[in-house]
Amino acid sequence: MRSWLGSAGCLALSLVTLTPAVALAGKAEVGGYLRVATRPDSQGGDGKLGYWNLHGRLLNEGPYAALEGKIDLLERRPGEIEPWASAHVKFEGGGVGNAEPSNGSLTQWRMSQLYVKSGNVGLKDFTWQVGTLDYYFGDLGLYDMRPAQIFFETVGLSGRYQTDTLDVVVGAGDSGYFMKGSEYNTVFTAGGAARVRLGRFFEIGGGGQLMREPEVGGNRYAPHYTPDVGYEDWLRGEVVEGFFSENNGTIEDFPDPVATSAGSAKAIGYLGFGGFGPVRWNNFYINYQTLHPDNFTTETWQDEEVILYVTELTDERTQLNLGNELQLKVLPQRLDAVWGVLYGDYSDGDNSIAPSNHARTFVSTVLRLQAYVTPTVHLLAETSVAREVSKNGSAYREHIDSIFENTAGKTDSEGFEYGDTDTRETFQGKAGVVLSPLGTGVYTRPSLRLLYGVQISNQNNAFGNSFVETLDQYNDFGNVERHTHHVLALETEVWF
Amino acid sequence: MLISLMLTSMLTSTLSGCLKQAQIPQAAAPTPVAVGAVMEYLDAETVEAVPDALSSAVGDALTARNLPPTLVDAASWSDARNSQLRLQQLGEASDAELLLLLETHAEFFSQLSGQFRWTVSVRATVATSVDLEGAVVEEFEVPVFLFNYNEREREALEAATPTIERKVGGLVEQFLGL
Repeated sequence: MRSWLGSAGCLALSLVTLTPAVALAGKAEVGGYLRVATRPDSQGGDGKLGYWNLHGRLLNEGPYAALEGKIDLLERRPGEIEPWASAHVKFEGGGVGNAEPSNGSLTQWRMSQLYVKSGNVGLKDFTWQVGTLDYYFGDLGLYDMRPAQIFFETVGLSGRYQTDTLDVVVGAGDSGYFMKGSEYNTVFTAGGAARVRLGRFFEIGGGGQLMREPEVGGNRYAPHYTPDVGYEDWLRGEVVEGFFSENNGTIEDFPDPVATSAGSAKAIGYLGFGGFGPVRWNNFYINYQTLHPDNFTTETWQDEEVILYVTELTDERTQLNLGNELQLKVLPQRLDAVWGVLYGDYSDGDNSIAPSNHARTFVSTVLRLQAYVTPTVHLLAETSVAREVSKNGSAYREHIDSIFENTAGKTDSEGFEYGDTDTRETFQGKAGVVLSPLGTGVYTRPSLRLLYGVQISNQNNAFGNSFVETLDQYNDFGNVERHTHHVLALETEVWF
Repeated sequence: MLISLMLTSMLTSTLSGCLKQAQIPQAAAPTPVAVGAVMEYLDAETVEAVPDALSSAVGDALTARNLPPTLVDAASWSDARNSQLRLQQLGEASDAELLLLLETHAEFFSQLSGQFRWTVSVRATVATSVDLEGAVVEEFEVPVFLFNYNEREREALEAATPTIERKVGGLVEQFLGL
């Protein structure tokens, strides 16, 4: 037997020699993510069940892909405490051929991350990162949201100290290009986060970031405010008209902008526990932020464009976001459950008159059950209930003729309200079959899914559509009143 | 909704009913295998035994091929830092005719679209105890995604288990000409 085994060994292909591997430079690796779907919609929708992820990401997101490359400049090797370095680049976007309106246009893609990391340089367990600095504690998988995230907009330098029990990151840089694009002005950003693991079952973390856009006289893209602009006039687009109705003169007499500075801040928190009983893990995330003010808008007066600087009109916006996700093993290898809750409270101290995404509250809960018929064939069922309330009056249309009832039940052509109710309530239910070659798990991918979804909402046609909404006599298409929406989906999702 | 659930349930039954397990080739006679499986860490000299889920999956893969496995405690191999020494120690620790050495480590790649991507690197070596020089080695990497931060190297290896099990089964079949 031994000789037979020996000859078999000699005959077999020697794939790699037994010589120890040497440290490599230039070893490359690509990871990524993709989702693509076809969702035929005979009710005139755009292939999404509802408007956004508040009802759960499933059937409410479009196609998307991300590619991240990593190249080892100096490879890490097990058992050695030596300097190492790697370069990372990430491309991502929603342009996918045949699956969305741009038909795969590369204009829908961008290089979202580019950075170099280097560890054990000067300090053990310490990693330097130069480039983009995006950092987040974790993800609410059911919603595809990251409430506890910092440096998403920032390019700069960070240092991260990481052991089994402690993870601390501190960084600083500039967020101007992400926030202002071609109207760039430096937005100094500094912050940090820390996470502590207390035993096997409990983690806690916190952090935050500060952004400061300095006053720069002479730079039209730096923060300014135009004096004596009323909020209501600005919303109506009547600031310049109002000025010249009260003041004679030419466009040169319109008040000059006054330079100022702008700032914003974000605090984040995290609590994680699990690993006992049926609780696989629970992630709780929170953030509170003051949003960065806008810079300027324009109005036209006598065929001339007038720039209004609005820092003072947009500097009192705040957000509170809380999210929790509980992952449960209900029946091991038979049934898993994930339960999510999301709450948001957005306020705008400058605006008390018009409905806006900056002045609302929302709350939602999503429950997903995944049963394993076999390790690779699963049944999925998900349900969500959500309530969104506008703080500044009616923002949603319950009926095709809601435009006639937008203020206190009466038509108001000068009003800011949009519909006939300040509350949108939505229920969604989804169910179907999932094929999962890599086995069980709610977040195991790849998955190939055949799903059916239904949405019931008090808002009329509460999904992306191309319906003609006008009620005038020249509308040849008529109006549609619909509160129940159905979608069939054939889709796949992969992390690789 | 009810109709959809009924339809999907029928489809599921059909799909699961159609699946047939592939025939796994077996050795003509039971051939004992000594298995040494270690897990190493980056930036640390620690060497540990691989998670139970991985060692038992590899054991199942060998058993299914009529190769009864014996797991050798490899956690004390910190001093043996290369495959040759480890294979030698594995041979000395067992009377088995066939040796299987698994050397593994996991490296964090990045947070990618909401999940923590890790790369599990595996170096699998098969040899006969009488001819260590004739060993066959296969090196491969398995990308895995973990949803929670508290899941680290050990969980990464557990997540890579199905792929490692399949690769090791194939390597042993190749080595024995099954």
